[in-house]
Amino acid sequence: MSLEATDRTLEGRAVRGISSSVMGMTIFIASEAIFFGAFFGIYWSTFAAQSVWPPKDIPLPGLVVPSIGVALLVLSGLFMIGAQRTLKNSSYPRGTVVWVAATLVAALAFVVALIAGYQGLAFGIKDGIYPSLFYLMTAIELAHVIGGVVLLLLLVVRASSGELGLRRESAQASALYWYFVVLLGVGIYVVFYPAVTL
Amino acid sequence: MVVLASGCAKQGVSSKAHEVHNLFYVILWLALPVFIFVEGFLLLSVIRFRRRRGDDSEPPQTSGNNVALAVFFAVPLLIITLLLAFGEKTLAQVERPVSGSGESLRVSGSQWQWSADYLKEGVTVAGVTNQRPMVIELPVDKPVHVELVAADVIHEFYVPDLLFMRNAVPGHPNSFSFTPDKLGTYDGRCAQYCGLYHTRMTFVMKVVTPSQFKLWVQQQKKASSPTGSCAITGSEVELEAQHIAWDKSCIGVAAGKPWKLDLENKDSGIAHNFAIYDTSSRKHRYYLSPNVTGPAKKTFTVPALQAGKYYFQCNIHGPAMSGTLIVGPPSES
Amino acid sequence: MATTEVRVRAQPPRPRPQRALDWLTTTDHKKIGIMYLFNSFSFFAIGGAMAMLMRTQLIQPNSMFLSPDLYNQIFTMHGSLMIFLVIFPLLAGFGNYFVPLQIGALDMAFPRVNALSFWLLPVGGLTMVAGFIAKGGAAAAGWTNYAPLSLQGATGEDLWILGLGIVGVSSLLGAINFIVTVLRLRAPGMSMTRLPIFCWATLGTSMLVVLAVPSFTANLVMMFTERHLGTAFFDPGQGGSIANYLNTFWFFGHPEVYMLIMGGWGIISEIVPVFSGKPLFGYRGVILALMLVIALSFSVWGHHMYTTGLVDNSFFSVTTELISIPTGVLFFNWLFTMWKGKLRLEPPMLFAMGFIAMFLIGGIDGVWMAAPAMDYAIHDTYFVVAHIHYVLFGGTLFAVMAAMYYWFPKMTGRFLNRRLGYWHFWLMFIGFNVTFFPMHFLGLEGMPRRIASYPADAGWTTLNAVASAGSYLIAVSMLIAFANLIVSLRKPKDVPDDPWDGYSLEWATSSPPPAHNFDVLPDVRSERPVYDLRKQRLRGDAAQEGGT
Ligand code: HEA
Ligand code: HEA
Ligand code: CUA
Ligand SMILES: [Cu+2]
Repeated sequence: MSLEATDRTLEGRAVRGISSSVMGMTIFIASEAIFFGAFFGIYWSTFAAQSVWPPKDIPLPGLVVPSIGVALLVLSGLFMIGAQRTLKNSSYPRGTVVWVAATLVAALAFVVALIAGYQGLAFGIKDGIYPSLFYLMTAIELAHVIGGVVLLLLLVVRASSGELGLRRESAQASALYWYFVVLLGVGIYVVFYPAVTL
Repeated sequence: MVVLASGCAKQGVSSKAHEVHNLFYVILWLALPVFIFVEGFLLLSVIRFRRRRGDDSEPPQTSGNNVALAVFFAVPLLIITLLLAFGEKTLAQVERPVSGSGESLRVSGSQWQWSADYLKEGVTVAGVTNQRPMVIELPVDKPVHVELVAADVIHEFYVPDLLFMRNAVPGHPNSFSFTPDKLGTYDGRCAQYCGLYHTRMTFVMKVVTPSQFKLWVQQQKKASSPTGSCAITGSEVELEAQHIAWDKSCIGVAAGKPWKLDLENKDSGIAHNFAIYDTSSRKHRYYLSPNVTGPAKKTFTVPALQAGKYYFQCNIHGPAMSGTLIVGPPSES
Repeated sequence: MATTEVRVRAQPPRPRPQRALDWLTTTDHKKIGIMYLFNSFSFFAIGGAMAMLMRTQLIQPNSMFLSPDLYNQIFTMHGSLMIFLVIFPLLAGFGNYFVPLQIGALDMAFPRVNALSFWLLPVGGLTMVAGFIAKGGAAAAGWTNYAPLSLQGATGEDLWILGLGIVGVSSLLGAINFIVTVLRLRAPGMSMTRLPIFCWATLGTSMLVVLAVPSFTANLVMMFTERHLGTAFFDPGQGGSIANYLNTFWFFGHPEVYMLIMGGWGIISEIVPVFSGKPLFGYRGVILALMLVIALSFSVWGHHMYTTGLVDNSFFSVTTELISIPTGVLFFNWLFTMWKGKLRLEPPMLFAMGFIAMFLIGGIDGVWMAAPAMDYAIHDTYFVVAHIHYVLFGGTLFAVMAAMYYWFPKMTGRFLNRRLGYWHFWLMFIGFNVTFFPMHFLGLEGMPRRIASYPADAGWTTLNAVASAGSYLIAVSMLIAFANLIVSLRKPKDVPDDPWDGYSLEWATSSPPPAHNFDVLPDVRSERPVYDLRKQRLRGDAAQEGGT
């Protein structure tokens, strides 16, 4: 969704400080953090209540594919940092588009890895609390990555059509969102793979 | 108005209930000055500071200061501190298990009736949904320890005259204790909304003399061994659950060989299962089927049983949904 | 320099779309605000009608007027609609209309998002109500929708979940919009310490939404997967726990109730000073109190779970009782605003004083219930129902009515009829108390909430009949209010810019304001810019007279 801001008061004076889009996105991310916090909280309280984690009859997921996936996701985050740098210098918006495109490629590769990871699983969503948490949290992460991809695609399209020639805020906001998604992906990876398999 | 409220708190029929009753008054007396101050201030303002016709002068434009702010914080803080002190004290009294041996009950709530196992006496009493409430009797002045469980949804054991309620939470047994100190018959009910017939999930608590209690226990014992009789129908039995009741109160199967149970559950959204025990006090379990959530029909194979009388029930709804299982040689005809 | 220093600014020309489409496609915060109010009052009529059905059912023992099944659906939908589609959006509606005006802005920060927030509301609400025509009826698990009971529900339950999911997105988008608007679009000179309290309250409400609603969204998502995909979050048999339901619900649920009252506090903090002719007593203290309530509100959710044995009752008792302190500060500030003032007892002021008088009772009820030992005796009884209505109806709804009488002239250019206003107030005030005060006694007598009927020998008959009688009185008062709206809307527009001698910026523009809000914007040098303006004008007049 495009966040179209009326950054103007009565006489259309430019407003100082961070832009409305970036502020709006920051607040949105705060709420997202609470949303995921609910799931992490349940994860934690269940973990604390159980003697064996994951529960005995749950076969552990493989570590390789998800690890590649999360590495790709982190990579996409690094590309995003590159993209954000170009916002400030003269290569904007051309250079930005290249970086964002790289981010997109890495993100899509993560999506592929995540879905591939589902294939090898020996448990279904109905098999208890651990599978419930596993499927729901990874699926919601997936949905967020896809949402981010759409956001970034919009950015690329608008940048190439020259619409972004004037405004950098929506790029900044998208970048923020992307960092959040990456961070979340790493958190979810840690609690479901290394934390239980190692 | 608040003063009026004071007449209405129940006296209670246990020492813990008396403490709660007192707490009601403590809070009342602490809150009353606040109530009178605020409402009085409002009334006084209307009378004294109401603008008179034709008075267009401006009132003094005072707008507060730090001292006032500090007082505004300090006064409620003082009241709250007192209130918490009394509240915590009463809480500790109410939560403390009563000492001494007495009755020990496992009370179980299910949609939509109660059942109670008297653990010492080996007696079980239960209500039947929409037909009759559970009746428990307790000897006066004897401690009662209750373990509260539920198998389907959350319920709540509530006796207004005990000034007490506690949830029966699936997967989380709760326990509490009290000593009833006044003879009488008291209404109890489920206070936690639990679906269609929550309204009718009532029970009765009778506090009686020790001798009356003994008599009652004996009556209950007599009633608890499996009764009834019915024909042995071979190796396949159809059983139907609807409105939290079985369609049969007695089923008969052949001894020594496994048999098929066709279980049909017509209660939509509600789960039932089928369990076989020795008697209604459920010392030994022979069989337990998986849950069937209605509307659905499932067939289970029950392992062979020796000849004899057994007790069966839905483990979720307990004795309210129970009957007699007769295992014997197939009858001719 | 005797005249007011007013900067005249150039106006960006605004296109004027067609009239019918105007409302559907508008992104004007004022029109959206009015649509919010219209939507909420419509749902209020529905929820109120349901309340009348319930009171008619309970007027006598063993009543057969409604089946238990229908009764359960009705109290569930009554509570859900009143909380999510009436009270909250009413405050959001006034916020939409008046926050941009009070801070001297052109519009909200994201006008199109704002329109989206609004349109999601009726969609979500109607989705919930659609349960009544679905097989198995509407949701019937109470507004708290406890698992595992809600897992048994039919299609209506899914519609409830879906509808509230939509409403949740609406309130989240709205909240982000409010926060950015207040933080970034304030007129020159409008520092945070000159911001009207209503804007502070809307800001606070929005912060609560951002930090609490997501927990409810997570709760709804789990409820949905639990019902349809077989997850085990709430299933103790498979490693889940009912605590997962209760904690995610009430972590949201308690901040929610402050979302429902804070806007009301804001309204009262606007009206009481204006009609007392004095500035708000302890402006900074009020802001401090609001922030403390917000902070504390996230630490008290366990007081809804005292009887479950799943939380540390002592801890939650302490935090809950502490909330009374900042709330008390608000009360004392309102009272001392009136002290030595010159009270004009116009309808807005009457409703505002009614708020203080009634919300106090609800708050004190809360103090009883916050003591766990006491709550063991009154939890899930009509005592709680009394509390709910004293804080929500005696509280927020009175504040909303006050706001209605206060701001209607600004929104429409017409006064609401004063005579009818007095009738409305007194009937509502009396009817309200007759209906809900007896419920305290019913609760103490052991009448549980959410029961479709009660036996004749329980001793609850008389008080229930009284309560039902009172509720019809409320209905009459609401009809009067409705008639007042209709009658007043047909009068000519004759309201000046500043009919009440107001303080905040909305009174510096015409009634109703132009599409661009302000032709001229006064300087903001205190938290009462329009008061300053008035004073300057008076001085100016005096100087001129002296000159001639
Ligand atoms: C607008 C909504 C609103 C508000 C503002 C409040 C405010 C408060 N609520 Fe309430 N509450 C609800 C809406 C609200 N509540 C609802 C809807 C439910 C039912 C949910 C359900 O369906 O189960 C509920 C339930 C509820 C419970 C659970 C009851 C139960 O189910 O057993 C409790 C228990 O502690 C509680 C406590 C409080 C307290 C302490 C406050 C305090 O914030 C009140 C503070 C105010 C004052 C105390 C008055 C002013 C203060 C002074 C003048 C200072 C001096 C006063 C003293 C020192 C006492 N509320
Ligand atoms: C803001 C919240 C709010 C409001 C205003 C009300 C208003 C009313 N409520 Fe409700 N109530 C709740 C919130 C609210 N309630 C909640 C949260 C619950 C708990 C639900 C649960 O347990 O899950 C509850 C539960 C509840 C119960 C308990 C049910 C039970 O536990 O079994 C009862 C019983 O009497 C009741 C009664 C009433 C009555 C008589 C009114 C009346 O005051 C209503 C009067 C209104 C009207 C008659 C409408 C008339 C309107 C018009 C004619 C249109 C006018 C148009 C304009 C003004 C523009 N309510
Ligand atoms: Cu069981 Cu209500
Ligand atoms: Cu609360």
